[in-house]
Amino acid sequence: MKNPKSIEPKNLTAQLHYRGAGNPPGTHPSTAISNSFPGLEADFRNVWTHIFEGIVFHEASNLVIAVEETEDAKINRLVNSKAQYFLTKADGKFMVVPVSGPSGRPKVPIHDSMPLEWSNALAEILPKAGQFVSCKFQSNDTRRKPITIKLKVRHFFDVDLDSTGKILNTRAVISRHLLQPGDLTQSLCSPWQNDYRECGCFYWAASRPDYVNVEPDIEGKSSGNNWLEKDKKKKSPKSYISDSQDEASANPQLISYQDLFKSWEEKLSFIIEGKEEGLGKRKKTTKRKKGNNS
Amino acid sequence: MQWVLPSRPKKKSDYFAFKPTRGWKEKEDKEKPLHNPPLSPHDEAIFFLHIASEVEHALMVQYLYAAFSLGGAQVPPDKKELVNEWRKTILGIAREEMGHLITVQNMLHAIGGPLTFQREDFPFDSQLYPFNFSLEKLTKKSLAKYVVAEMPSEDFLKAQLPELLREIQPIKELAKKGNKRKNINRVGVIYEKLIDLMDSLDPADFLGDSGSFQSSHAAWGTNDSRILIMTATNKSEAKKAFGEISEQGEGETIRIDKPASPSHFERFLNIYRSFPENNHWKPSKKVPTNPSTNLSTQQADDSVISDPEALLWAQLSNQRYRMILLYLSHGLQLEIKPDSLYGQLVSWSFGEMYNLRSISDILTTLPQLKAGPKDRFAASPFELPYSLNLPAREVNKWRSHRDQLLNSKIIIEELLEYTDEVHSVYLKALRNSDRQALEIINAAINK
Amino acid sequence: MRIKDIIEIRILPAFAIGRLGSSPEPMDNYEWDLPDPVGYRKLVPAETFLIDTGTGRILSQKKPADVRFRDAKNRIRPVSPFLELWARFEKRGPLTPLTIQHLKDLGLNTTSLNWRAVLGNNKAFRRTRDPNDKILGDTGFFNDFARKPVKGLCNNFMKGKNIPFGFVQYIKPTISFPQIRFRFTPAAGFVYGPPIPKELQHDSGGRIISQVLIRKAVYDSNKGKWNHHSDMGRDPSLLTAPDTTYANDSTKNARSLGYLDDGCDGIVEVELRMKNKKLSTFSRIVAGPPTFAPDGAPIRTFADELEQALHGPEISGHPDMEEVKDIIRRALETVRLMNTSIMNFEDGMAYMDNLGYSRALEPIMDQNVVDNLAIRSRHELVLLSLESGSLAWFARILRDYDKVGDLSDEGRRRMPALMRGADGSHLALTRRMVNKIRNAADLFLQHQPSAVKKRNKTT
Repeated sequence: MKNPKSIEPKNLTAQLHYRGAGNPPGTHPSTAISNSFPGLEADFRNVWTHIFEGIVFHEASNLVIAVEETEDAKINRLVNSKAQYFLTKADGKFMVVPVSGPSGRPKVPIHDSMPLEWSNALAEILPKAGQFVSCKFQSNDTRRKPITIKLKVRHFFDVDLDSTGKILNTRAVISRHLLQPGDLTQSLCSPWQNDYRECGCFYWAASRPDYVNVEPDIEGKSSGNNWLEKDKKKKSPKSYISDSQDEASANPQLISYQDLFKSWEEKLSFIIEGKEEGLGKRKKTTKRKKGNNS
Repeated sequence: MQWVLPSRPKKKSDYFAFKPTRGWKEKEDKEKPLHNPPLSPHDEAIFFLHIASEVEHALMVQYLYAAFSLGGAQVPPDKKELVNEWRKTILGIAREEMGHLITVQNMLHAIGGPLTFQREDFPFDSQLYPFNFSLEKLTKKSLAKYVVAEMPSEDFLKAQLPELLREIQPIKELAKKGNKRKNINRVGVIYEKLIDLMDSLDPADFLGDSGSFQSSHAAWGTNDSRILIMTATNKSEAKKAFGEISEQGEGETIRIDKPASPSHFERFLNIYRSFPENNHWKPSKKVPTNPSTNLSTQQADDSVISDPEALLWAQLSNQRYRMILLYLSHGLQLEIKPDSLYGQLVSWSFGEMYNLRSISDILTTLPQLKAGPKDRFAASPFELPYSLNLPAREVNKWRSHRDQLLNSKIIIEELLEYTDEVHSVYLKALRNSDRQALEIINAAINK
Repeated sequence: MRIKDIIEIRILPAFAIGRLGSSPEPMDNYEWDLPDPVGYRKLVPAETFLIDTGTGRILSQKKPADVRFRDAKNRIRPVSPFLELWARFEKRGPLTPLTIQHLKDLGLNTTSLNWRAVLGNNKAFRRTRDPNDKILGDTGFFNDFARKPVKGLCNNFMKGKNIPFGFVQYIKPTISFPQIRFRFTPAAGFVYGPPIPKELQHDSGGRIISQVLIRKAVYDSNKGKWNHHSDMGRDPSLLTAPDTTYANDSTKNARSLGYLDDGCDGIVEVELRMKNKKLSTFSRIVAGPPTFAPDGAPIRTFADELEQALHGPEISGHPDMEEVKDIIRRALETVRLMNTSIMNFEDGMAYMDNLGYSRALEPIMDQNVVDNLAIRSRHELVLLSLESGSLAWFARILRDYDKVGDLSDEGRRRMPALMRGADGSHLALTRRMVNKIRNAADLFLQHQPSAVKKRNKTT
């Protein structure tokens, strides 16, 4: 990937694509998963919690968990009352969708609802940065009436504004008003290794592999290992040991939590072309130049 | 390299017992048996299922060819979107015919008949096939044939939509002109007959355990509710399946439980209505009718693909067509078990559909003739191989697939010496993809 | 040409990811190459800076012989991103990298630039809601080239203890490498926690357990409650989603063991003090685990989110086919590493739907067709068809963002399948990604016959 030597200030696309000299692909946001539940490198859901001035949302739902210091009585009602308030509509767009499908009981369909993840739900609202949009909040206490407030949308990216609020410059970095240091990673697993076991919904295969050393078996179907199995090389024929919820977390054939906390570097292998890289094996010897390199 | 063609295939009338009783027509003589001596009900049901399958296969291929012929530089810019819509519509109809084809195979499983992936292929004066098989570019005339083949009965139109019946008459005339002055038969007749036949079957004719052989919508339907893939283990389910197929084709009944989805008839009719008259503008490229890769007939026949590169692509197209029929045949014959390679056969079948489409899109940009006008383009010939039979033993079926991959490799290697940069990327990727498939197939052979 | 002024400065990249590893050698640069459009990406060595951490200078820029993720002692080499300072010299001018020469032109020098890194780890705070559990590392402003450790301090730590978040260094520009650069080297990937009481330091076999943790005791459990925390019994609306995602004692109460890691996120900011004004800007960095399958990329990424935030969900004009291929390629790269058979039913979203909404417990796809190799073939063949310029008709089967609650058979079988999205339900791509694919599918693409001369071969 060739790095350009000059970029137009308005060309934010080029600035977002820019990787920088000496930086491998892993440094770029295109390798950080964003179907955050909670995420690996960072939890993108945290970006949205302060998107409306005055309100703080839970990163994973449409619940108002706090308000910024304000005199506005309506905003304060969202947290001062005994009930909780949820954002159900913003600028005319629904933030909640129905859940439907067959339940376990015959002929009884599911009737439920769920809040949408913010990135897609708020996608049309971002261009209204600096403007007020109508936001409807409903309470979990159905006796309470919904509260509709006009809230100002913050700028997503870092901008320079003139005195009238018109944008003079936009930069490709997420605004300081949306995230403080520590915000992006706060809702990740602690420690991050904790995410690697017993996750029932392996959603990040390309960064944290699941099924490795896959080959056709004697019948032509796939056979491979669980990335977290110990001693994968010694097993023949291969069989995949499931890290299913129901099994005890202390399955001795899988790398344990303690193993991960203590010695993840040793125990976890890089997977290249679907196969484990030789642990500690080097293809060629290279003499490193003198001088510390860090 | 030459595709080996069979000697002229037999006409259905050469087969014993099939001697159409004189005067057998759509409605009047429904009671008269089609065969002399008559076939047992079970056998006759299988006969009609085979006809249905061959018709669906033939229509699907003809519709595909017509869709692939649409477009090109000769389409005026303000019509490009319209032509694109038509192409999408006809490809959608072709996909639905595939659903019908698979459903018919399911019905064959249901009553224990042999599956068939043959195609109505030869000029044949039949009261059952809709029209003479003809791979041709989409024209007002060919559209007329499709409209008439898919239409509901005239009785129905007379009762429900008389203005439409009036509109159809000149379309019928035009269609006849496109079918060597022979009437077009309604596809619906075959399914009406099948529904009747189900009543003459014994409940014991339906095998209770055929479910594990029948294809599911979940596996083959590409999550598209318009693709009808139905199963049956008794006669009422079978009748329902035939009814739904008919309905999708003709749209006779107004179904309030199904989302609004126009029938094949309606969709073709809509295109017909806005298709230009008298070549006012040309939606289709100049592609040959019934193209052939048989160079030895070149002198007499204007339909031969003689441009050397196009010829190789056409041969590759034939080879991939053969592969899809064999994957389908194998997959649909298997007893479906989790530990079989069923999933792989499903994936490869779809893969070959994508490949056929890709290759067809390439072919229609290449000249048909070695020397001749450059606005005449090649197209996928859909020529059938010497046999569609698969060996009986499972291991030999896999060897057959291996043969096809090796055949394909030969053509690809030759093509790579010809073709330009962009196409060679595709060919090399195809070759690599085939290599991976071969690895899996070899495992299945060597087990 | 001499510059006369600096109008604006920016740090690029605006978002950089460091990846943990305990080796003192940072990871080299490499590139992805794609010789086979439906095959694996190849990792190819690329121009790598060798830094002298003592002086802060770039010693050389070379391509290493191979791509190695580990050093000779098998330690993982941390991915340590460089940040570059770019500037605009004229009101209507472009941004270009700022160099030492530019500074000299204006009578400035490297000390006119002051850098600062502020990194935080609020994982404990997020659960306990105790502000004293926030861990913050702040280098303060500096303008020299010494390597600065970023020490994560916390009110609830034991006296004198911190969690090292890694290092930052203002790279000293030279004649050979005059550009203004900054480097972040993340930490080793250790786990920290409270001291383990002596009586718990040995397991039943008498072996010392959690050696690493005993050494890396930082948290004062007299001051803070992190190692007593439990998500059980708390107000559910305050919990993370999913909850109980901290190392715990595996009992019903899931009591936290008080573990912390050295991942973090924050900003790097820089101020330029000029004669008559001060310019400042910042960028964001994150330190996370390595990408263990580095020859692929995930199906939905931060880059996709940022692109949608910038341009919105709709596409105007013709989509770039390379972008569509990239999305499908990422789907293939994800699917290759998934045990699709297991995730179709035994584990995964089928189970989650039943747990969360009492959806009937059923496989998502037909069980007979989901073997990993079969699904892989399918994706490869779709990608192959894109390569020919033709389009397989798959745009229709994508899941719309507002249909993630559709748990019918048809709804769950849409793409991407078997994966979980940020809302906990079935994954949908960003709306922009879906529109790219749909717009491309609407186009009737034609490859123009090439003018390349072909060999005439007699058949």
